[in-house]
Amino acid sequence: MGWSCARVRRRLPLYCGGDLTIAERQPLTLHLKTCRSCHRYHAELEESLAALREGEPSACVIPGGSLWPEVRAVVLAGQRQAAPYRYWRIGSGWAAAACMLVALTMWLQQRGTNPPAPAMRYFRSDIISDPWLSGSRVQPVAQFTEPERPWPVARRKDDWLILPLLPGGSSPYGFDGDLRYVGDKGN
Amino acid sequence: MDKTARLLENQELRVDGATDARLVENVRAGDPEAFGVLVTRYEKKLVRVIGRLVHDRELALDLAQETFLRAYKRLDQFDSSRRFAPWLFQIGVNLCVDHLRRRRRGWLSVFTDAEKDGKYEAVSPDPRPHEELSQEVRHVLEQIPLKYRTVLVLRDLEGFSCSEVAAIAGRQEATIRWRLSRARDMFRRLWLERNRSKEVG
Repeated sequence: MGWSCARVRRRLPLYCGGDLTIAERQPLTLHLKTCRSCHRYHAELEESLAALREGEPSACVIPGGSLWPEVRAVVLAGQRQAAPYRYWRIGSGWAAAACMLVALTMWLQQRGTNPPAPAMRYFRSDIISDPWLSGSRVQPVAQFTEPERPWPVARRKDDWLILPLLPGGSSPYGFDGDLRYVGDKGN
Repeated sequence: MDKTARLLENQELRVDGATDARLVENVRAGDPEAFGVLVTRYEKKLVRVIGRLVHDRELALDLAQETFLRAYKRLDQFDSSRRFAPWLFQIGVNLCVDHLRRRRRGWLSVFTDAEKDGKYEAVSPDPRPHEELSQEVRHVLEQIPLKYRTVLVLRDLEGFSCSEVAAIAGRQEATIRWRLSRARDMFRRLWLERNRSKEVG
């Protein structure tokens, strides 16, 4: 039983290029002898393949004759760079360690000679319990024993009062007011 | 001095005649000059393949150079039990495909650039008819999708076997045969259409 044209045409491109075995070629050869349509299709394939092979230039010119000199230069440059890079990495590691040591020494020195900077704590005025200060009326809610101090004073609801604290947690500036510690600002 | 030169020459001859696997081993052992033999052995074919895919001479040279550099860097990953050429061409073809995908927007510009300066020196007694045919073939090839064009170039223009093309493309041989069949049929159809339009025009 012969092959159908569709089946033959699926294989004809491989037939033309010599990509079929002898056994695979045989039924196609037989079919081409009897089918004019497939014969024409085969001729078109042969013609186009011949044009493809003839039309594409087969020779090319490489400037300088070879790519190797340029490739070689890059390869050798890469090898030369490789060794200094390793040394640079080792050197940079030592430099980083030295910098850290210097920074640590400076920090320890500073810690021993200078008093610690006062920690800043945030207080919020609590005027809910004081009807006199309700609403948004501007009133002082804290009276410092040292009123000339330039620290900001909470003046209305939801204002923030910033007080410097000693390491123990107490404030060097006494105040007389109804204040509530609410933790760090933003909490 | 003559003796040394003769020795070096003999060594070069031995290296030139060495197999790819032997040369790769030499490179791995720290002899970069052995890679030079591999470069000179495959550069023309590689530039030609890449040139047929990108249709731009300068770009083909750049991509071929990049291919060799990548191959050199990845030589440790190369399996010596396999053939070197398909592995090298796989790197080159992948580079081409990546490049063409990146600049897919400008296939037309690639074509016009190639027309401007991308002419390979064709071996032909009278270049004019050959140039015309070459332009037509190139134009038809441009219209074929890249995955089919790659197979067509490697098999029909460079003469790689289907199994080698499969190794280069990283696909099954059956897939390559199917793509090859489709690619030849596409080329036939486009070639006929072009001829017909020329006749009508």
